[in-house]
Amino acid sequence: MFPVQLMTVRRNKNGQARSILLSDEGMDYALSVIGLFDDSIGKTRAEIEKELKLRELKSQNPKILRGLALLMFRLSGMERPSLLDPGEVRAAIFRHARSPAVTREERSEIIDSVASELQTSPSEVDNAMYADNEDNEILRSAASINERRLMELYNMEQIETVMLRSEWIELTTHSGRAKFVRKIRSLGLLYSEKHDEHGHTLRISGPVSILEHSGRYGTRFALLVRHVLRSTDWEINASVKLKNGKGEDYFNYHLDQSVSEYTGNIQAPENLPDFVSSDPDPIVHEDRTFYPDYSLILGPRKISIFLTTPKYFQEDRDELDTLPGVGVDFDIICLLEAKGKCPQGAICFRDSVDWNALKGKYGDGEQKANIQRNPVGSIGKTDDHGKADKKALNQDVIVHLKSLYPDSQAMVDYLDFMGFPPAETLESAGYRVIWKGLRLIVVEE
Amino acid sequence: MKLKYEGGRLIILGEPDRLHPSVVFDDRIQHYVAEGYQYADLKKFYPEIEDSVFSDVPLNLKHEEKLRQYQKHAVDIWASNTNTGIVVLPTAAGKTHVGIEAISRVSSSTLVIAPTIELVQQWRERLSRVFNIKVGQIGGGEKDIQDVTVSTYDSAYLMAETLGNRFRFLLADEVHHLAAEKYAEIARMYASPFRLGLTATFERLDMLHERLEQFMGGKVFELGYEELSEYLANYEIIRIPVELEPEEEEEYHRNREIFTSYLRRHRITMRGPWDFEKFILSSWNPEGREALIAWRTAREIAFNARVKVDTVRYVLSKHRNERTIIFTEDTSSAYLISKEFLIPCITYLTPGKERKKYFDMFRSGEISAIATSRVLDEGVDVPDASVGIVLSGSGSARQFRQRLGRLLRPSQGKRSVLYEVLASGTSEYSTSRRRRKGVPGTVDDGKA
Repeated sequence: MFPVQLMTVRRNKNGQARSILLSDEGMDYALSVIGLFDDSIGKTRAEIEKELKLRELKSQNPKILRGLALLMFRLSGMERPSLLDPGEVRAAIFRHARSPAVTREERSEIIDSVASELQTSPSEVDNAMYADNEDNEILRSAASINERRLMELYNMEQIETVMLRSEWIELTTHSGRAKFVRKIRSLGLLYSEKHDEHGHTLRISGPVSILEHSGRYGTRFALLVRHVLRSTDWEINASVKLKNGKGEDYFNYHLDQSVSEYTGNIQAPENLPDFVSSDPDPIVHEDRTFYPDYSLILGPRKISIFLTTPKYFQEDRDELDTLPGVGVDFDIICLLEAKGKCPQGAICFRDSVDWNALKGKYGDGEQKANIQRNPVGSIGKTDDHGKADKKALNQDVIVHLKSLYPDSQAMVDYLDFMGFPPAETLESAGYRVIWKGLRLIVVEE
Repeated sequence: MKLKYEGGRLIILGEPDRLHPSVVFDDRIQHYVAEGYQYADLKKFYPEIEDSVFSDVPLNLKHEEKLRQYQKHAVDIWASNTNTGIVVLPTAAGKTHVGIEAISRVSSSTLVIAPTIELVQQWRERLSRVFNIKVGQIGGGEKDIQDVTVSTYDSAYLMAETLGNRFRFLLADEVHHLAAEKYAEIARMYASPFRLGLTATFERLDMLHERLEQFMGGKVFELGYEELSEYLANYEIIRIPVELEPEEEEEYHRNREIFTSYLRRHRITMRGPWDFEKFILSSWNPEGREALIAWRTAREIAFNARVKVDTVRYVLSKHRNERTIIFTEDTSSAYLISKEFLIPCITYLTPGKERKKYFDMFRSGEISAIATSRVLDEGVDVPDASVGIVLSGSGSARQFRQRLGRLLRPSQGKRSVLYEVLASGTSEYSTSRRRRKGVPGTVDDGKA
């Protein structure tokens, strides 16, 4: 996303706002900026900025030039003007210059002493002193990008930038609900929902939005929209706070998937095994409707799969606990990000679901034994993150684990048999655990 | 009924038999919710409520700092106002002492917030020393949370959802910043029942300080320079006019003319920051942009007049070995001075560790001068700086008072001097007049 100063929107008197996106008519802007970078190899960032200011002066819309240049700066290869460590150079200079060098001679003397200490030339010392200042960076290679792709990136960032000013978003979809909800929750946003002939409409806002007009969720809205823009089947209406002649006001901002013509980045559909459906039927129970993320069709058996994250696992499980009595076959799978911990009682995968391994869990295939559900109420006290208390680990268990190492599977099986949550217990016992799909690889620290 | 804190707000679990005016029903989670700052009120309103908002334990924080009479008085008044409110004291009058005493009296988990990383580091060092405890820090590349923690405003804002119920005492240094729309969310979202604001410049031109009454408890104590003169170093302010070189002057006037003729053509009068904002908004067309660029160029010429560097050279020679701070309005001028005189430069780009190192060197006398842009304008404790050089600055009286305040910490026989270096015949003169309004001790050269 761009800084909000670079946002280009057109507002009308009816309270509507829309982004000014680049199309073929904007090609000249993109060509001008790409040309500027191609011609500026060897120049400093400050010099390029200066030239850019001159072009802005002649341009009909300087924000477009500035935005495109910002993308080019990000994508191009910039280097410091010196190989010396500027921090070290400064430290040496100020060590020698206890009082300011007020004459030319004093200055030269200090620079010469530093050069000699660092075994380099005086001019190199001068160059290196603030070589880490962004303005002094030198363009070594211009981004290799064509004008169309540059415009697409620009358009995408323009849309995200408007989202920074959003107070809430209404997202309507027919088939993408589960995927969007997952993203909304992972961003710590909340939603209310309605379902009618137009599809599912999720009204998304932040936890404190109900209490105050807060701009704190703008970045999260921008990230959500980045995700939405890569999908199909959606429509967005957002309330965005923008400047008008008298101060600031709220405007309605509408987008739908046709914008991909300008952003050009819809992702290919998910590649799923044939026994997995990404468009499962909702489950209606009493006056509530539950929307699974996927369903597994294994012969006559159909299993609804709900995806969640550690933060929402308990809440989701409590909600879905009403379903077993109505004869629905379902399971909750917890997706873990980078350093996330698997909650007690959950089946977890890192980043994405290993469908074949999951298929094994339901009795079809040899991988059945590999599925681990973190046992609830396992032996040993656990803290909030489900981490086993090291003190509760019996010394015998630790010794036995040592004898099994490096056979990861044997260690996991042993802990499972003993009723310990394998991943957490192994970490408590001083091992590092690496997830490979559903398998645990144990490494000695 | 239970009161808990989650996602930056208070949540009431269960059905209340009566509703506090601040409470609203959130149908997304099917519970009543309220803003964090209502915590103390809700506790009073629902005395029977099971409270799981805070989980800290009382601390025992003692110190041996000696307080001046007015500092003790300020804390007494603040404490009698249910440990809430704002204390206004001029720079160098010892606001930190007031904060330390308040922390000691409350002896609870405490978050001290400050606008710059220098101030944050300064609070951390001071609190560690006077209470002999490990003090945490959030911001400046650190995230170490302890019972007493210091943070930048930005980090406290970003982490409000997770830290809002961690600290019972919220101490906001330079509290006038807290009135800004974004930072006000810190005051709103944190549940801390005890709140103290410290500042030298409470009133804001936009009048937003009025909202601090609601969130921080309003102004409870104030003293000015005049009432504290016995505690502050003597000072004088000297204006040094410098002449632009002929080509600079020509370039200055050419750009100034582009700017002023645009204003004339569009009947724009510059009476204050609001008018300038109007000008910026009107400058979207090529003609306006040209005027805006011309204004910037003229300003840069005045700020960076070549002869100013020689003037700095003269002042540094005159005050050799005296601790000197050179203030500029923009970072590039600060770097230019740094490179020219081989003195450290502190700007918003300077890494935290390096800043701390320069301050340590400055305090210990290993170096005697520092160049800086606007990051040292507020609150940073530089005990023995006695010479200031304002190479360029805005028309803000607050900025000027804060810069002057950097030189006023008293020591035996100290007499401080603040030099203003101004380009003759430029708008710097009127800018200087605006910022010095109401500041005693100005020696004017009579130029317009």
